[in-house]
Amino acid sequence: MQADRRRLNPPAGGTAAPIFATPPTNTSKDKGQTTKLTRPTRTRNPDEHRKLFLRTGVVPSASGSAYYEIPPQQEQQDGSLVPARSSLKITCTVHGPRPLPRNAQFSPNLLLSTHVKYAPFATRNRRGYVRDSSERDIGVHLETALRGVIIGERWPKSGVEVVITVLEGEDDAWWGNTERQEAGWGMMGVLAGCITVASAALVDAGIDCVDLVTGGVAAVVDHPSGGGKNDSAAARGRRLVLDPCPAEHDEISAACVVGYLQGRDELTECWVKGDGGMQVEQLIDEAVKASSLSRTVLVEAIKESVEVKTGAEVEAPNGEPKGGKGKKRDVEMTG
Amino acid sequence: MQRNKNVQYDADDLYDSADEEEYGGEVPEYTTEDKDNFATLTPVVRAELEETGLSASQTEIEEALWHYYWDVGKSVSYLKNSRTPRPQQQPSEGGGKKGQAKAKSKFDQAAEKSAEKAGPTPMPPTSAADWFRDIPWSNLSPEIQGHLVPTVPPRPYPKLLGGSSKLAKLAEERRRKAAAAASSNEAPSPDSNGSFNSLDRLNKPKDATKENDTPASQPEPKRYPIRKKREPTPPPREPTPPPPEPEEETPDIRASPTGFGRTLSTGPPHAALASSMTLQDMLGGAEEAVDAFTGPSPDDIVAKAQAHSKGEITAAPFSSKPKQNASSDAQLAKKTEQLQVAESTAPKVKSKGLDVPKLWAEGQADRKAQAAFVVIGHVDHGKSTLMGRLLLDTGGVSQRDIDRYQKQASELGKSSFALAWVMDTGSEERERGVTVDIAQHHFSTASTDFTILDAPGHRDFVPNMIAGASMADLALLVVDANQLASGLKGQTREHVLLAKAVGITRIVVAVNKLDLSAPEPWSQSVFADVQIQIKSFLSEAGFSEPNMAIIPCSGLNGTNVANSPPSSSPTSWIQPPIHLTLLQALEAFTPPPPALQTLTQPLRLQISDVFRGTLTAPLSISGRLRSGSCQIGDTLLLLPSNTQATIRAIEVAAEPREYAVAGQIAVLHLAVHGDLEAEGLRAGDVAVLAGSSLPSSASPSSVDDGASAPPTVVKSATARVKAVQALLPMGVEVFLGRWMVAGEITGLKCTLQQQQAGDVEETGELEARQVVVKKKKPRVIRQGEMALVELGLAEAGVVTKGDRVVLRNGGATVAVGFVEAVRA
Repeated sequence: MQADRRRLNPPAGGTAAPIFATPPTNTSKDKGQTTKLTRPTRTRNPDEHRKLFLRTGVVPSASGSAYYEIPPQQEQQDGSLVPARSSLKITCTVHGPRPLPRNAQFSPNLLLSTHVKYAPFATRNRRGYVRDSSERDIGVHLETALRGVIIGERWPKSGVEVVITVLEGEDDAWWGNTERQEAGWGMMGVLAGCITVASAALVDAGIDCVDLVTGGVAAVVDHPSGGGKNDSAAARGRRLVLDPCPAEHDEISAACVVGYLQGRDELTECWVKGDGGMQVEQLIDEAVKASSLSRTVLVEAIKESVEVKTGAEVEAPNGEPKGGKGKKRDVEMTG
Repeated sequence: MQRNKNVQYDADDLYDSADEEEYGGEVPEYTTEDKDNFATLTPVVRAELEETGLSASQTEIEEALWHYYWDVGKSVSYLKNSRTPRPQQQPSEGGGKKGQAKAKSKFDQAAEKSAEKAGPTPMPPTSAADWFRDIPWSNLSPEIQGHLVPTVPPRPYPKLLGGSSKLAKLAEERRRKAAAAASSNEAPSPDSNGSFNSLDRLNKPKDATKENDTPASQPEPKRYPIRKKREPTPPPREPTPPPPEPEEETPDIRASPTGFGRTLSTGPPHAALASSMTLQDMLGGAEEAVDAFTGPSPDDIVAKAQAHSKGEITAAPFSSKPKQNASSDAQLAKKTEQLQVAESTAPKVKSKGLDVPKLWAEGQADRKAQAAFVVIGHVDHGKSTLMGRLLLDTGGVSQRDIDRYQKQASELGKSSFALAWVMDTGSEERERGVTVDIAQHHFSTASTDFTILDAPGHRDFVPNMIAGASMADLALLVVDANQLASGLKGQTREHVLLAKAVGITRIVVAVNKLDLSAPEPWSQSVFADVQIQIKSFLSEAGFSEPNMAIIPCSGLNGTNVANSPPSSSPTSWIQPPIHLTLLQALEAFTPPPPALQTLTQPLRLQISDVFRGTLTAPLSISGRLRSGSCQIGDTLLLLPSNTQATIRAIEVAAEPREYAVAGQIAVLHLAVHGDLEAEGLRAGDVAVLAGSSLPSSASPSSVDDGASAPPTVVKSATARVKAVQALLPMGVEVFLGRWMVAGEITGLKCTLQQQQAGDVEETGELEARQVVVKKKKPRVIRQGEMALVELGLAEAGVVTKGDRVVLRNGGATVAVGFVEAVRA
């Protein structure tokens, strides 16, 4: 990859980031003062989604923007200052629809372009300032997910840019587990968040969509110890979990992200990664369930923003996709 | 007419003959197919109408269906519209007439309706709120508020089972029933119990989309093939409440934001609602901003300042002290006048009328002796390095410069040349490591101001060496102790001869590179050998014993150059009483100050260099004053270009002076009268004082002092020369000091013979010897003979009787001598 010449690059030799001594995982009892690191375990039910926070209109200068967050679900258990799990934080800005540049080719549809960028500090391993392949990968998936909802033919000769900055990404695995660093599970959760937040930002920007698309993620996790409350023998080995937090699972064998339109019951995006085995269909189902769960939050957030915008109470039904467009009223057209 | 309208709508479709016929028929006659359709669809429409509490006659329904091409939804909405909002329209009227009437009335009615809504003609508003009434940002009355209603997707929903009419009809019926059931019963359907398996989703009716589907797959009359191409626009959606989503007790997964998220999202999400915070609010000082425009603007201040500097009197509107302004203007005007006066006098440099010889004589006591010496020697014997060392040790150049040169030289891989770079300033000189042109440097000791003229040692640059030697008082010969033989064969010999020929009588020999002598460093025997050889050689060349000093030294190390070496070292034999340091020897050989007589003679200066271009000194010349003196303000006559110039400034040894006297190498900054062409002045030209007339005949002064003879511009001369090589009438290069000119020996007058017998070379000056004619009109002058030769010059130049002349041919000196007589 060519060098980034637009910014002041860090020194060639790299900087020495502070290294915190990792306390040993299994300490003897007599040394009580050393903090004991244990892998966090999933305490919520397999079909329970983490709580979300979503708000639109965080960037006034953009046509539309939204902020998505999965805050830490419970307090830090051990005394460590380092959080055991990551908490996802994503911002999205939408610029447009705006006219295409003069030299661009004619396009009868709205041209959608998506950019996904991790902030350099977003993950435990620092990211570069130039988008790497995984970021571009997420961008392409996001574009696929959004392309299906935007009614593009209403804006010929124009383009819209969806810019996503991941402020805090999902871990690929528990950070205390030093020996195994499988990449890629974290980006599934990030993509689901990206789809949801981009959808909110698109609504905020007032871009016509056929429905609200929401992202959901589910995973097949291996539980060698057979832990959890699920006592069914079949699920002892492999379990389907909705909205997996990679730090909480020892081994994830497959994951699936969907972009789901609940109003139309359609998928605009489906990405299965890993070896799902026989459970792929259930996996997709779980992901769809996750996305419909996150839709509830999305709808509420959009409703709130519309209320703020109009200053009036809008009584849109809960599942109404076009909640953002004011009161529904049929105007009878004669003739 | 309705048909007509539709045909226009699908103008690109083919006209059918059946269509053409149709235009004629006023009353539609229904085919059996049509009747079949009526039979099926009329109950449906009726049922729909009854749902909304309306009723319509059979003919009305049929009419509507006929006109809407069996479109149930459209027909229903049409009927509904025709019933409810306005006075009853008779739909059972004749087809064409009805269509026309309807088309007209619809538009009219729409216009009327909007006119009603708009109310009476608006009166001119009485207040701003009135004026902006109905503008989107004010309070809109809800009835005129426009609402965007999502349209159904324009593309047809793909159907798997083609256009099977019965199936489609059945499906339609079923869907309708389901919709009716759903609308009547708000309760959730039993199968939507929140489970999310795939089958459920597949079975879930897509009400929202199918609601708007038209019975496109209905059997259509063959008479209207155009209808197959495009579906009619869907009717407005019925106000049936949408079927409820499959209810699901969704857990509330909404979270409160983290601290970070709160900072992002606190406050109103849109800046438009917030009172914007300005920079002023943050920085404070709002009260200062209030009176920002009371004073003059920054532009005005600048303009005023500019006007001040120009001395203009401006009627500055914000000027608080106009009086002071005026007075300063007056002052400025005065100053400007003074400035102008000074400028006008600038070209005319006023001579102070100094009595230079007297001043010189007065200052003689507290003035250092001065000497210019030319450094000669074979190439690579270390002349420039030795001079660099001399300059360094005497403070003529700083150690910092030497360090810099050292660094640069080592980058070029010639670290031993660092000292030489003090003298060799040209890039070519530095790269090649040889001196090309004469370098001039000044340094002073306690007793003497020295000027170094570093001559090139390479044989290709002998002309430059001659020029340098012609300006020098004494010569410093540098020989390599280890390569004496090569030097004596090569340029050492030639240089010594030339130095002698241009009139140098005193010579200091620096035996260099003794630190590298062959058996051991600083071998005294090596030095002794060299000393003997040099002495005999110099004696041959015509230098007398007391006028030569031979000094052992090392230029690279600096041993015995300026300072005596320590006594406890291999160099301990070099001690002052016997072996002076180089500097001491040079001081000892400093010539006496010029006699007062020389100063009173007319000025004579041969230009060795011409500088042009700097703004303060557009033209400068440098050269050695052979006789006389000059001061600032003197007017010079430059020969042979015959232009006059005034001396604006004088520099001697890089210091400004009031005057310069004979023996000094001076830089004169000139103000030229008139215009001097670019080529008008060259090195080798001669400057004399203007006003001193140019006598055509030789002055009666002594032959010995060539400088006393007035300069004449000639093209031929007679020279007394001593042949270094055999001479024939031939082309030669004639060197007269700095001036080099092509010429030829036009004739050999006679050979001369020494009057006194004895050693020719030992008896001193060439000119001083009394000679007798040995043979007239010789055909050849052999090597070593003296002769009178006729010289013809290609260009006219200043030749004076007594000028030293060197004749060279093919890169070798052929004869040396002096001008015996000049002919105009």
